[in-house]
Amino acid sequence: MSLETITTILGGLTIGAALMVVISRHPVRSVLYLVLTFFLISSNYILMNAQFLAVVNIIVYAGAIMVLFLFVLMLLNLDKDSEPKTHILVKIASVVAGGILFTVLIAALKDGIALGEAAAASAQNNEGLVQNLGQLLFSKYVLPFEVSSVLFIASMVGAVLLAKREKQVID
Amino acid sequence: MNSTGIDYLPIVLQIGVIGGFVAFVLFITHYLGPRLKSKKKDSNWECGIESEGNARFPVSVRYFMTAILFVLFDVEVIFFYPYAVNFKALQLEGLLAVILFVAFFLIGFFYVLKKGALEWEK
Amino acid sequence: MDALIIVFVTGLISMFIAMAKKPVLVLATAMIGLSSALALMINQWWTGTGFIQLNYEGLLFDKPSILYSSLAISFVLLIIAGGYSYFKQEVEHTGEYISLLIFSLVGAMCMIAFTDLFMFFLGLEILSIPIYVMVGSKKRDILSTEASLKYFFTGSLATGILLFGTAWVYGATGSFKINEISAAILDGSAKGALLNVGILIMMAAFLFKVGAAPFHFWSPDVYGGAPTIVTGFMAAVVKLAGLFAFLKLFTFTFWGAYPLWSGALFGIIILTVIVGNLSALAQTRFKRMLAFSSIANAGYALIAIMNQSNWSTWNLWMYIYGYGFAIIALIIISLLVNDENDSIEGFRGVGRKNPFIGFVLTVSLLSLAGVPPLAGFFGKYMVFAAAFKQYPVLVITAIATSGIGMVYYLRFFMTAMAKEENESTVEKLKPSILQTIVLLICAIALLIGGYIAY
Repeated sequence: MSLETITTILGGLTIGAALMVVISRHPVRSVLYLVLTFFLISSNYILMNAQFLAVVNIIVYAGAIMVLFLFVLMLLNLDKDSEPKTHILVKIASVVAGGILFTVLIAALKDGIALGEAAAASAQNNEGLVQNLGQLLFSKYVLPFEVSSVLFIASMVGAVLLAKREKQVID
Repeated sequence: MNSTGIDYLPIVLQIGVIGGFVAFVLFITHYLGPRLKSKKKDSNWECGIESEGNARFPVSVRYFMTAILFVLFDVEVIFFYPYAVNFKALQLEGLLAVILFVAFFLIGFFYVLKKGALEWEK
Repeated sequence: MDALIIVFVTGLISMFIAMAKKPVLVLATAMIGLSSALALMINQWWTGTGFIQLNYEGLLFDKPSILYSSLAISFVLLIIAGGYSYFKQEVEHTGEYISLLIFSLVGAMCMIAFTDLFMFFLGLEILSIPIYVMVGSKKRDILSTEASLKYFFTGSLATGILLFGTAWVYGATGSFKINEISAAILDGSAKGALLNVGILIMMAAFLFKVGAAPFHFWSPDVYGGAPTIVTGFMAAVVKLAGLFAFLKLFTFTFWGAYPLWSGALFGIIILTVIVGNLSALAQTRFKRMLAFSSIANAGYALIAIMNQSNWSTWNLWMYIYGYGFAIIALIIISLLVNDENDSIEGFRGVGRKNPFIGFVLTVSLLSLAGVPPLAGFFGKYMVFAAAFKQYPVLVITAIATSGIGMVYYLRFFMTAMAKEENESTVEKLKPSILQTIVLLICAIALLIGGYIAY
């Protein structure tokens, strides 16, 4: 099987799984389809020679963030069908807007195909391998790397502030 | 360095082993252990109290707190992969960068502990 | 660079020092840390070098960045000092409130001094995430929680869209560094639909972040629901960082694609100033009025982005200077009035009760309305004058709508200065010493703004 066939099949599967996320009525099922989508996206990354992204995608997204999603779902009351009814005009408007955006993106991507081929021919696309990425991350981009820890600390403080229960004062 | 399909062979093997083990265990349990069959054992029997309410009740926010902190530290761990691969090549500079990064995380962790966010309050 | 590190360390220290349960210590740490950061910035402005020279890619504190960073630090200093009475209400969380605001400032500074899109994105996230949390920090208030959730959902969607656009731009130009992107666009090697789509998508996300008209729907709810002091932070610091990053990215980096985005921006500015000002007219709540006025003001500030000259950085700075100090003064007065429903009527008679507050209120409102000797006027004048030759229609619309703006500012002013009918209902306003100082600084800054402009 040629690489192109594999890419096509994987891409189709990815889009299908992503569609199922939206179509599924049951939220938990949506999340499970999302996990499947992440795995398929990871395999796409591997085909594009981006090992690190593939690993991150599986460990962080499919692993940790999906757990969070499930927790959030369980935090909510899923008893009743609480999906709000949207007006038909709103639906039509969103379909039109989405369709236009989609058309524009597709049209623009036609430019991208030529550009992508040129880029693939000229450069050895090896930045995605864990080793090469590490060398960049810890030398050239070490500042953004360190600054990202500010983000982590801020989100830790934020999580503690928002999710921690207040001590109840009993009079 | 380039990656070819052959690099992923160990991963494929591992997935194969895991899948095979699961299938094997599921299969073999049917034949291990004694099987007792009698009319009484196979008959329907219900006991216990009637269930009340819905099984889907909201989970306590405390699980959520733990989960969100887990995500943060999980992301931290991710950054060790590229470092581990380049451990020798990066020398002291890389080590310092990682130590600084981990130090920030430890400060955060210390803060979370001090705040008692991981304690299971009642 | 040294200032950035100091600010970050200040945030860390104030996070831990709060465990002593003495809010004063947190305040002192924050004040000392931010003041020394400000001093370092000023030092770097005069000497040209900081004490620490780090030659890593991503951040460069050049002169415009220093100018904007210093303004951001000053805003945060004033906001923390003025809001201290609010922060100390819950001793348990004082350190968290203050350190989150300081971390957000770190993000703002990254967003101001970025040289590549990595750093810009990190800065944006560091700026936004503490604000999502701070908006919801009144945990018992359902409106605050609602605002936080709304802001988080819409804001993270905008962030996602921004990343998407960045990917397209990267695909077209092959670089994340802003000078390389700019060069690639100018020499024509990056023309094409990929680049255009990327720029437009990024612009949509940016317009969301600064709250321009078709993307402004989150703003009134979030401004209204957030704790008052956080509203001030969003109006002053977040707008400052967002607008300057907008300027840096569009006016300077994407200049080669000017015909593409200027047309869209032109329409959006006209829509923004009209929608913002007309909606503000109808508001009865103070913070919602402020939200719409901030939408309108974002529209005026965007005019500075429309024309590239060496002065547009400086014009925008002057504009935000006038806007920010006025907003901070108003926010602190509203904190003092502390009306439960946050209605404009709650301000009735404020000016009579305390003449000093009345004076500061007058100065800041007149500055917002754009009355000559005040900083707000100079900001508007410089922005409009620079753009008039190229876009007379735009500037005329802006001037006409700022006439509408004058109506609600003056109406608010009249309410605040009106005679109180029943004296006994509201007690006398007593600003703390800290708040008095902050108000005084704001008033002085607005009064001397015109001299800075020259």
